Amino acid sequence: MLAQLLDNILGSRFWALFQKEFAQIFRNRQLVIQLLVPPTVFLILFGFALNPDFQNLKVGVTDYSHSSASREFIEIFDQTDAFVISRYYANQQAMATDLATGQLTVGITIPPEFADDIARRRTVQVQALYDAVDANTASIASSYITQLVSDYNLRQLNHRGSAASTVSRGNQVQVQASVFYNPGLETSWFIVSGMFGIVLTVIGSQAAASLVVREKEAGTIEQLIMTPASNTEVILAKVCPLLILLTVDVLIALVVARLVFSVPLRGNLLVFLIITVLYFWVGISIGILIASYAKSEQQTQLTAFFINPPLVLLCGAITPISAMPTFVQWLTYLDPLRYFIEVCRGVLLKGVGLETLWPQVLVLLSFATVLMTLSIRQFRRQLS
Amino acid sequence: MVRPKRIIAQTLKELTQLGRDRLTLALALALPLLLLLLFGFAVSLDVNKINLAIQDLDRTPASREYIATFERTNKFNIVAQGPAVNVPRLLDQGRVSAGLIIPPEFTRDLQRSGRAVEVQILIDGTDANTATIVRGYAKATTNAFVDRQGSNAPPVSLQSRLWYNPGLETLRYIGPGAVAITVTLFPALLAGLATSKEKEQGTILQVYASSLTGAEYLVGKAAAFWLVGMAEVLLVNLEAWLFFGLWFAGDPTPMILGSMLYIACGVFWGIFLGSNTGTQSAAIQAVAFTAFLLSLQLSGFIYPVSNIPIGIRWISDLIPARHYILITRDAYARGVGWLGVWFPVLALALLASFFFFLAWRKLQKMQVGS
Repeated sequence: MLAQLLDNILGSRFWALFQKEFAQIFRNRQLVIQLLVPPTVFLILFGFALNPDFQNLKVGVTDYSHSSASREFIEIFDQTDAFVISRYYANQQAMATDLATGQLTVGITIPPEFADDIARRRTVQVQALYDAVDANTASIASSYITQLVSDYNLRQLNHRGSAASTVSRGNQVQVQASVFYNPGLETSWFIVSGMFGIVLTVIGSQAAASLVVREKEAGTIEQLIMTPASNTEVILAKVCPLLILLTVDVLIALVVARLVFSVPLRGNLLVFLIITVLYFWVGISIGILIASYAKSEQQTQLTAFFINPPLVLLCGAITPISAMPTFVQWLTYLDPLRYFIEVCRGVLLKGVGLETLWPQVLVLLSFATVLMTLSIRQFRRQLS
Repeated sequence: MVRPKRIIAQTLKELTQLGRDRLTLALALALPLLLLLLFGFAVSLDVNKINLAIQDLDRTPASREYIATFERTNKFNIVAQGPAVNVPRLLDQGRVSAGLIIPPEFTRDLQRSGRAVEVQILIDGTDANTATIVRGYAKATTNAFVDRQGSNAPPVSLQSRLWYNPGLETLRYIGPGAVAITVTLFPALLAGLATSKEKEQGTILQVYASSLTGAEYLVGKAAAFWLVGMAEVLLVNLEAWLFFGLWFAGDPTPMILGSMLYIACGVFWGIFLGSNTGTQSAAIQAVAFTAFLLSLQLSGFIYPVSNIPIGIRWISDLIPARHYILITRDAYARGVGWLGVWFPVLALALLASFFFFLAWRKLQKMQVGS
């Protein structure tokens, strides 16, 4: 039975067309390179360059107190890699100038009465000035510093408590934080696992579009219509070789992610590949749809530029969806890439399978069906 | 020897050709506007609505008060709450970013002095950045709860003041950056396409055979796309004023001069790439990669340049967007003016001359008889 099925496939018009397309793609060396090299380069570059890990934020200190107490307080900045004390200032004006020209992220001013107030157990006001042009960095810096100061306060209070030994401070609540899926908090994992989807969407849709439009420009598409093959067969034969190349892409990307960034593959590889191929259908359909409307390759590529950025920006690969405004969050539900990114992170990092990811798979399936039907219909309309 | 008349003629010819391709021109002017909206609204790193599930095994007034502290911070969005909440399952499904587990002995331990109460928080570490912030918020919230229980005055109280952007609006940071990124693509793309088209169709040979010099050809061609690019800059800034409510914080002259140099960088780079690639689609790929993706990644648009590893950071100095973004941010948010951004303007001038030289040398080499 299997032999007969194989016979049926090998004898079909689809197979003949498939062989033709396959040969055509591989003769077009530029396209093959274009399909295989950029994804790898993008993955590595994005993984290294887009780094949300805040390190060495520059802190300036104006210490009017010059005491051992104030020096001890300043030591709190050495406790994390997030900060580095870049300079000590004699007065606040000089520090303010450096803050204004962007040479400092934070400026700390310690008042002259610091040591006195600490000794007398009065609350001291320490001033922190932030360069908040980069709102994100400033808010992260400020939450770090607030945390450091509150830790410092706790240590001081405990110290006083034990010194006085009559005041017993119990009832503290300790938070035990356990981080799931990425206990080492490797920041590149987030970007790299998201890049899979971006790279494949951009490359896949552009390649599919340029394949179809090239045939249109060269006029050979008329010959294809003359063949007894149905439009569906023509399109399927166009898509399949691309699918194979893109699958090779994914495998390369997986290896790169593993070797360069040590991103784990916790889930099932087969499940991942099946969903990936499903997602390619979406990407390729988008490409064919663009191509069937455009008149030249130039128009195709420009239109792809019009469509790809929204897909990429709204998918949550680079910045978390939860950080977007509510109405933009609603828009993300229309982005097929969003679901694929969820699958990527689910399978790679969380190690979950279809039992958890079936909603995403269903959505992708409907996207693929609708877009493929649309593109085949538009393709047919163009030909007749 | 540069003859202005010939340059103007070349510019006019280029603009006429561009005007004929309506779709491309429409895309060139409309796409940046759409991109700016997307960048402005979609690129946000505020971690403000963290989806949180709380498994409260204690269910006492004290534990409810503890939960209320989390609600009051406005940082958390409590999705599920109760004794039966399955935190790991919700994390697996991606429905929450963190789960708080309050043990049954919470109140008992809280009332006995000298005993530490342990609560557990499980955090989704997929996004390490968000995870770190969530952990910080959880600790700070807990500290606030503890502070209210006791009555000790804290030794140090921190007074924070945020300069330039007191409301910590991401838009004031992302907006000016987005203005820089959105005008990156098209000047280079159009110039690259026009040049590679002439190569592809062979019309470039006529230019070489004519008495037009390489520099004249280059300047004439560049001027046309530079004008389109400047029109784009104007439109994009108008949009930033109208939609994002951005306005110059100080002297706008560094921004005006910087924009002129920045667009020139893009155009010269586009022509250089176009004269190196054989086909239009290769030119598009080359421009998309170098002018757009590299600008997006290495300019410090999303994450600060200081986060980039040192070797790659050097490459970023060669990316015009990295310097231009400093200028737009100063113009719209900081307002220090020349004192703060004289160097980025100088860097853009150097890069523009360098790209001009590259394109000029390439065209010089191709010219017949020289």
